[in-house]
Amino acid sequence: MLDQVTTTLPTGVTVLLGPNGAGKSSLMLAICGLIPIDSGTVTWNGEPTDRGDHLQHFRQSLGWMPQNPGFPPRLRVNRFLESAAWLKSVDADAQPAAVAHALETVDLTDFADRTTGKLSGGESQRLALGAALVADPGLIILDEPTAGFDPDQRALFHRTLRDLGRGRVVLVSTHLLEDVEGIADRVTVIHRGRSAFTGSVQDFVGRTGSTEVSLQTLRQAWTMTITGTDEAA
Amino acid sequence: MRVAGIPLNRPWLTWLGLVLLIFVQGVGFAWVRAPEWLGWAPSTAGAVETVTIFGLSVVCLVATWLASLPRTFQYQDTITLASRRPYCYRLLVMAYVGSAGIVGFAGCALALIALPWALGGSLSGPPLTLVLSTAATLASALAWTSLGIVMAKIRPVFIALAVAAVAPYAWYAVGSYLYGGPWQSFFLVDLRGFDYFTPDPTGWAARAAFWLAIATVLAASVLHWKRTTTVSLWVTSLSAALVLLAGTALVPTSGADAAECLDGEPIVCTTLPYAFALPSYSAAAHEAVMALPPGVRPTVIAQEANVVGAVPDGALIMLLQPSSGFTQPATLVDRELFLSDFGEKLFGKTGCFDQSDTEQRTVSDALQIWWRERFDIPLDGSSSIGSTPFDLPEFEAARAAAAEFANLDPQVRDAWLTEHSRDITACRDLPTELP
Repeated sequence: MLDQVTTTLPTGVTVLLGPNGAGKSSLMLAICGLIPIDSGTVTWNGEPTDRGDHLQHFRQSLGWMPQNPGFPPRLRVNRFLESAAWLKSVDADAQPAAVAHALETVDLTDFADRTTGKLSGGESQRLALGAALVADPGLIILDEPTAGFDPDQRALFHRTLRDLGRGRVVLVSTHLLEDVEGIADRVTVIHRGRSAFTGSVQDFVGRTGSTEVSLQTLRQAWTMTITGTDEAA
Repeated sequence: MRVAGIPLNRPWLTWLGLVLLIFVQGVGFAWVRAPEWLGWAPSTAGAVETVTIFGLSVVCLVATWLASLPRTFQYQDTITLASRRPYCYRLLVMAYVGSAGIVGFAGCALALIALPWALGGSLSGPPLTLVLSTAATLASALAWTSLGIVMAKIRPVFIALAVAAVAPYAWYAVGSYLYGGPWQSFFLVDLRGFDYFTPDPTGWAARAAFWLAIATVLAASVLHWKRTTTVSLWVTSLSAALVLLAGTALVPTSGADAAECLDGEPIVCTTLPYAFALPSYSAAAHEAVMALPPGVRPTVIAQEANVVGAVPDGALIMLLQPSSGFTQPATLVDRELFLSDFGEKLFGKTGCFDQSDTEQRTVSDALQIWWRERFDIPLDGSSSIGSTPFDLPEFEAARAAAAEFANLDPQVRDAWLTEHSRDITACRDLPTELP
């Protein structure tokens, strides 16, 4: 259950941070329009996302990667991306280039003809990200994208997301502080369904009195935000 | 059609495979019953509709399978968040599977219509029923595609697939149980009754409208076209009423009783529904009469007495219908069956002499045995329903007499047959012994 959550997502990578069950996924699903909201609005470029033409425009601009992506196991990687491109109204002529670009972005070019059922967990996550990116969206929402990654995969993913954050709005949910350290420009902390903090990473760690962004300062800032006291500092 | 959105590795190849599957099963299923419809338009119209008995299960199953893929493999959100219009994926599946169904079933219809010419014959009878039944068949393919997509909502998926596979056939099977009642009108009608009587064209047209309206209702509701949904619901209701009113009432087929003859030795005549049989009927009849001396040969072989019409005075007429399989009239003549029946008709002479006269019966049986052995027809009677099994011990004397008759010099044999031609060809006593 989310309550009184107000946030603005500027260009760059915003990390949605919160413990399991805090409401991160619910917020993302609500932004995407996959679950209804009782009150309030979600706007994109100043327009409500749930009305008429705006809905279509919003969905055209949206790249969504769910927490547990699934694929038909016998379907080839490039065919899944072609299918995703079709769903996002990518022109038929532009589809091959869009698919190739998405594959390159998520480093799956060599896997284009492999069936999705033969991908590892990390490769499947990258394919899901590729599907989210195939229409070159302006808003990318990724729900726990690094879950199950090994350190190398996570580093690659961080690099990819940092690149994507240049000129796009990227919202990433995670409960890993390593992700914040690796990719975040801004942090929104969700706790018990409410927004506990929204601001830049520097402002976030600044709560500890430090200016250095490190796992230690992030952990301290996190604890302060959740407990609502400065004792952790 | 854009098929990029279909989550298959080779969507066009799969589409082509689906078309071929529908076509092959449809034509194959119809071909098994070819003797009942080949070359006669009203019966062919029935055959066109029967190709859907299993074909619709294929269409419905594939539609359900494709429509359920996103949920099965948990990428439904990708579909929901598509920037295309709502339910674009279901619409794509509808177009993909529906077009395969239309092309496959249209191919079946064309094949059934073209087959008579390919076999050297032609298609007789009014063509309107063909057009209407083809329309009903194609409309039902669209409707069952839409229904298959609706069935994809059933959970778990394997239940949905099972229902999709069975439902179209169940629809047909229920119709079979309701034979004769008004609800039968919504189901396929049996084509075997269509030689002289055909369903009123209104019935075919109503059923085509009904199926098309069902498909339109589902498609329009998927697209959220409220006005079209409402209108097509009205059309569905009206067409359903029309189906019930028009029903499958059979009306006499205009011109079906007309005779069609083929000159030759002998002249063969059938009614129009069986005109396609004339070439093979004539060939079998010619083979039979050529085995007899001229005096014993029938000059006209006709399916029914009323098709003989004006024949030359003194013509020797044999009534023997073109048959296949069992003994029902057919448009493709079974040679063995025909020759067996010919021999029985010529030499059996049931009711023409006192059956308790052992000597005449032996002559009759011996001539029939000789006739069958001459054409390598089994003596056990398996070639024709009701045929006498001459391999039983009680026919030993007749078999011995037949063997002697077969060993005679052909000229002597023909001379004897000619000498007794009146006894053989007319309904009167037979000679009491063979030469």
